Amino acid sequence: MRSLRILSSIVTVAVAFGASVAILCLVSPEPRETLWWFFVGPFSNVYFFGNMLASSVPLIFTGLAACVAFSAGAFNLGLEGQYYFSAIVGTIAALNFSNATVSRFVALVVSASAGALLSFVPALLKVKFSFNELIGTYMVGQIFVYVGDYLLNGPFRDPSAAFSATRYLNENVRLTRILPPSSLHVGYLIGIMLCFLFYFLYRYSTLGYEFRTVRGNPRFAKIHGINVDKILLIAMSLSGALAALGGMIDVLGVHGRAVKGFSHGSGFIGIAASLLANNDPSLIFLSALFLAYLDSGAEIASLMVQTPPEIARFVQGIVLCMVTAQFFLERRELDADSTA
Amino acid sequence: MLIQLLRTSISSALPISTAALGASFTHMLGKLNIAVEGTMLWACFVSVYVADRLNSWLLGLLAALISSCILSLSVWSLHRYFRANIFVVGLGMNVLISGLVVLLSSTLLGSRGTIFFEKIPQLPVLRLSSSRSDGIDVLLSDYNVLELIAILAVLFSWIVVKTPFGLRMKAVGKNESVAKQLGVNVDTIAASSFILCGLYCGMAGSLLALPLGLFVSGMTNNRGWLALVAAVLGGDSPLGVFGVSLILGFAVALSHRLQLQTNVPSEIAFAVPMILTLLVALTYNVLTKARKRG
Repeated sequence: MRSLRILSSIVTVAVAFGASVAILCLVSPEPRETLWWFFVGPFSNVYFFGNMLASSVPLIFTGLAACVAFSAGAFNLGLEGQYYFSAIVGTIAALNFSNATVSRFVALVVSASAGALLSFVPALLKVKFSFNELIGTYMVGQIFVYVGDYLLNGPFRDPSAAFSATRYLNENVRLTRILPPSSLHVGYLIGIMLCFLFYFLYRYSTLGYEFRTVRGNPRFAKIHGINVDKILLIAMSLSGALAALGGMIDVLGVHGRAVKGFSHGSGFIGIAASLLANNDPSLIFLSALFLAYLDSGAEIASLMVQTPPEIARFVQGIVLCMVTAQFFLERRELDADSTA
Repeated sequence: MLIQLLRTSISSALPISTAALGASFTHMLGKLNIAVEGTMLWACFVSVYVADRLNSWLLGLLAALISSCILSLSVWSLHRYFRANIFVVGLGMNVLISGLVVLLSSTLLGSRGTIFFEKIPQLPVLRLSSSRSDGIDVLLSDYNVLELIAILAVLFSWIVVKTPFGLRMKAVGKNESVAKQLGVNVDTIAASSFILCGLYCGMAGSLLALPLGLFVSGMTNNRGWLALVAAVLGGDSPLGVFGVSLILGFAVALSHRLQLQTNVPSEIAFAVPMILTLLVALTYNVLTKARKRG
């Protein structure tokens, strides 16, 4: 069975790569050049490599956020809004302080609490009125994406900027770069540490045990004296806070200010990152890296040869479609499952 | 004024309601197809592209219907034959199409922005030529042929649910193994409901793009997700789904009006459909919950 699983993931990767090669050849004027930059580009120099690692940071955080919600058996579809809006609010708050340490602290705390609040409300609606949490989180998230756009375009817009963005944060508020000239920053290390922290929490702590029980069988958990509602609320708030931290760290580490549309769908791709890692926190930084690799490959290819960077979305989509599929399924298993 | 708003609400509601009905077929089956947004966007592109090349809106519509069916069926096949998680496949399909559509429009048409297709023939429009120009006349007149087909599709879905096929679909959704033991061919029912979903989404996409004769990669603008909300709230009843869609259509029309005629910031106006939907959904939920209790 195990060998079939491995074979299955090989097929997934092979199909994804095959489809991307095919589409790259179709749309690009110089297919060979494009293929080279797409697949090897991210490793060709320190700058590209560091940027690839940096662009995996948001996905590590949103991936962890999705994973935390999943691990208590809940869905958080509002990651995008939590990521985007909270980072904007955090940046605006941090702009008011001149001291670097205070400012950084304020940014992280404000954004994390805003994110937690955005996911806490839909979770509360689910607990109180059994309101579908898929709809709740998604709608609240989308609404606050628009509110974030409004803040950037209206009251907090930097008048000297050519596009919607806040003023720059102080140079010394930003996170330390660790691989110049690329934009890789210490946030990457924090992300990996958080991955393992959550792995151990999930595996060995009481809260982790309660999460797992609620996910496995809520009724059993209830009989066992676990407060299912409380676990759901904790999981969702934690999930929102993590997504928000991801946004804030991306602002502090890479952009230096909140820019309209800086999230680039990180919230949705985060769900993919979590699923790709089979909801195992210790693997999320790897799946985030894989997704970021596709993204940076496409970006480099579009920079070097004229190809649309949307190729990355296409390939990510194919990976998502195939990632939970199991090829080489035994006939017996297939039939047994459909009657069960 | 109010009549005008109602009239535009109906027009805005039709794409949402057709997509929502499509999704509700899969929802009845217990396997909600999340790929509605992507399938709609795909149908938008295919319908205008084919209509422009072949100089016929009917062929454009047909191409959109067929290709959306294929997309929808592939979502189902990945789920059924390779045991993929239907939710993840749907999400993947949305991501894939949002990329593919931009790729195609920039390679085939050489632009990533708004593309106007001038060669698309005008759609026939129904005009009521009565001498009265009161409210009813405004409300009932000036529907283009696609909107009429969409209205027929709403009626059709109401009939489908009453047929043995519709009942079997619900039975599969309630309990698959019992349905199977009663001799229902689960696979056929499921495949047909996904085909229906594809057809309806294709219709919804054409309805958005063909009358305007243009394509933008953001033209579905979350309508697919609103449709999913309508499908979930409407539950098993097509009329319920259509009713929720009408409210959503009103919200979309209101949001357009706010943008054009007031100085509400456009970002906030964009959020209006979302906020209204959330409020409606919430009220509905609270009310039904209260009824169950009392």
